Amino acid sequence: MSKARSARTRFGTRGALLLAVSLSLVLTACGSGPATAPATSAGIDPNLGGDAAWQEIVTKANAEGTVVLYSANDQDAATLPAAFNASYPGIKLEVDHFASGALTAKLDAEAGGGTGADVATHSSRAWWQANVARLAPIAGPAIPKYLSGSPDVYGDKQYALIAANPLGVAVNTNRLKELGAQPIASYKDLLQPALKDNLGIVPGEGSPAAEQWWFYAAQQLGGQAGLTQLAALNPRLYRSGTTPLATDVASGEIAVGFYATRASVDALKAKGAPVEFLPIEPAIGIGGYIGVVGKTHPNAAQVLANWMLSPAGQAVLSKGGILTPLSPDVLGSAGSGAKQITPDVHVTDGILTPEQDSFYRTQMLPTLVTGR
Amino acid sequence: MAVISERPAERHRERSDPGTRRPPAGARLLRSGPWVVLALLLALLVVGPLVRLEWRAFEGGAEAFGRMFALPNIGSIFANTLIVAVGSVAFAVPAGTALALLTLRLPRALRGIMGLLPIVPLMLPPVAKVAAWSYLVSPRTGLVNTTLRSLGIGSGGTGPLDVFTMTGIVLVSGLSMTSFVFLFVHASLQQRGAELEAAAAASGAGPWRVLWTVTLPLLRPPIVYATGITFLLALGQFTAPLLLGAPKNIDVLSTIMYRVSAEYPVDYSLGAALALPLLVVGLLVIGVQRRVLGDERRYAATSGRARIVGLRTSWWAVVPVGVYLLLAVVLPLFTLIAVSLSPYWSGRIEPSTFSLDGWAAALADPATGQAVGTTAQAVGITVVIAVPLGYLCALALLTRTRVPAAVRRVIDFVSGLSLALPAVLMGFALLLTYSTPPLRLYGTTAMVVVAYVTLMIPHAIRPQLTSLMATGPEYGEASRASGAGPLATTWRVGLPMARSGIGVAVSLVVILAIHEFAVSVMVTSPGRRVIGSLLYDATNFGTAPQVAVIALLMVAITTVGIVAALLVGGSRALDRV
Repeated sequence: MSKARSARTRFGTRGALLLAVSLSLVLTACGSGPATAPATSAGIDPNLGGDAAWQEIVTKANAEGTVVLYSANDQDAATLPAAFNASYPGIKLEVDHFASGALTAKLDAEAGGGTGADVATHSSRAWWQANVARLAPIAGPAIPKYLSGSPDVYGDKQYALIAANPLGVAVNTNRLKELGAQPIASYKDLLQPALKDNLGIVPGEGSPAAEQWWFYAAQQLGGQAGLTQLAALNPRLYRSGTTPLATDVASGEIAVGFYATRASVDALKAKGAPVEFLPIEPAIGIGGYIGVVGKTHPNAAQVLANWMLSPAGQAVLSKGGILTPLSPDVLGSAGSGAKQITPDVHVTDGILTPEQDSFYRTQMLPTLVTGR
Repeated sequence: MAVISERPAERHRERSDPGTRRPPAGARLLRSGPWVVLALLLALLVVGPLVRLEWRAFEGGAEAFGRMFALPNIGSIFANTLIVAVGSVAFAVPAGTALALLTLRLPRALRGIMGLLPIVPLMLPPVAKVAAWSYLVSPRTGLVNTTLRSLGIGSGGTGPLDVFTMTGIVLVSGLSMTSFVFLFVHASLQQRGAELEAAAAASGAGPWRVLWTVTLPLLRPPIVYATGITFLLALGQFTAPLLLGAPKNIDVLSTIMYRVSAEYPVDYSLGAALALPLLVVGLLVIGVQRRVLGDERRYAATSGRARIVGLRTSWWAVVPVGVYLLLAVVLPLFTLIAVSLSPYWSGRIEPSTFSLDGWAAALADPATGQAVGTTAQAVGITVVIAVPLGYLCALALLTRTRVPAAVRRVIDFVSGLSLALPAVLMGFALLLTYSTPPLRLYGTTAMVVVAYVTLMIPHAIRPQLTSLMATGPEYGEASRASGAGPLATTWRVGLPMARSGIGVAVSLVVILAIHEFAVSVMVTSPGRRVIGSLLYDATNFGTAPQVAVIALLMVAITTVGIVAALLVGGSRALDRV
């Protein structure tokens, strides 16, 4: 997803959203929304704008009673079930967490088997494109109400951008002081010699979105020269992902690690670890896409997908520092502090351009992974 | 491997019994029909998925091999695979053999208990051991390193040891495999006794001369067998390279195959090409073992009344056994317990911060209960299927049963094949077979069961074959002579006589299936996680205390499984594993 495209998208979306919100307020005031409005944790009715057909889906979803989400986002398992349950007490949400690569491999293995995920969110738009025929269009009122005309809704509403997770840096504050290193405020601060042998990186092989993250990050680090400088610091590789990296930052095995997710660092900080998550500018967000992938609980799947795209779900998602495609204005007080995806944010879409692919194979991997 | 060769007289009697007439062809076919079905079933289970996988490697003009050789560092990957295999064997075979020999020198009072302790490390899941060693020997915060540095050994802020190296991988793998070698050699020694050593010593030979001229030559069969098995296990070594090799980009074939299986789209052709060398080496090792040891002797030690007499015992023999237990069990277990009680892994053990929060959180997590439930269900069904199947295969492998030689050879080969192949390879083949048409099992407990049964067949056969061979045919013949049919004879004579072997088979299947990890992470779906895949997910997405708690739960479940197996097989089952 290019910057230029992002800019066009956001301003267009914002205008449409403001209009949609105004209209919805008028309609609600007139009592024209036929869907029921259960109490929600976010205080925002996810069924707002739903018609009688949607109400029928909700009724059937309650009868199904369960919905399964496969998510590549590391905070969803902890935060979503209770919040969703507050909106839909009759539907139990089960969340399974995987890295995007493993998640799509499991979705492929499940295809046609009638078991497994009802809804999935992951970063590989290449997978969504290739599997668009097996996806049920997202039927709820959230897309027409809040994302009408958005270029982030694909096909015949088969899948949509749900959020962007801006990755940052995990720092062990004690160890950083011991090393006498400068505070980390920019990408280039990660190249300071004081961090030699005290640095960890997630190379992200096999995840196109992560490979795109490195493409954008390398530009900030100074291109090939920056990567070479980074390699000279002898960074430890964390191929299993961000959680093992955060664990080692917390123990002091390494002082600084990137890329890191806020959720994995904050979880350790809450237990008393001397760690901080540092967002770093310009933000590079891993785009997450949502779609209905299974047929086991078709109605509950629709309800979940709609909820996650609605302000009710977005308010919960954005609490972890994740950027929302919606305007914070529509999230209300429940979404206080939420940030929207803005034009200056690089949002990965998991479809490597030839330039990005070439960079990763010929520069990133040989310099930081295979050539060491 | 406490198996006794069938007595030559039995075979002679079978061949020369004048009362035995060759039955007509139709009757022969009817009689051998069930055995043919058994052989076909085994072939379908084990060979079917492998053929289906390897077929992919040769599709499209075998271009997958070109892509394999174009992988970055493919030469290093092959070299690393070989180094891990040879290094682990070089560590485990001498260490396991030495431990087995030392248990003969233990004071009599300790021999019963301490003689079996070196197999206790097998009760620790491989992921748990590797995770524990990463807490112990991480270069900066590893407990062993910080202790050594505080004692003035090593300088600076890291080291002197580093588990995230090739040496670390080899030592951690070798330490685990030492128990396997011990198992084979110790069983052989127990069967054979020490009378020959005692005689050599009485004739004036010194201890070293006795070792080189009597003990080691007699131990050749179990050592060759153990070397082959550990070489193959090490060649497919997955856990240690995956978790310890990543920081410094040390990959082996199995870790690359796993990465291929977890990327979109899954490149089965490339995975098949990567698997082929492992498959070829596996087949070669089976062939070499067969040639070196002969047919039944691969399962056999020496018969006779074994007595450990006349050997000088020493309290010093306790030291190496104790050191092994310290390294392989006590330190990892202690570390896991400490980490499980800590709020997070801080690089230090701080009892003041200990709490049961990690345990409460893990036990309250529905995923834990689901995984324990699925594990219990899958392992239970696996035992119910694999152990009887193993019993039938063991019967077929006995030369005294009237099974066509070709069928016997197929059963022998196939049962050995799944033992010889790396689990990741089997996992890849099973994933392809059961997640694509015509047989879609992915996402069901049935898939886990099929995978476990396929992997566990050889482990279910071996101990039951041992028991059957040791009991001889007389009781069965007496039963039949008294008018009992085959089913009644099996029920009233065969099964009770093989009870100990059945107990051992159940123990092995329970331990190995619960610990199974490489295949589980591939074939289990999120809704059907087993405890092994839950542990792997925790290493990727969970905190250190979560990893420790789940690992300790696995140890607890294994212990429960073994106790249950002991109830089936009797209290002496364990020492016959």
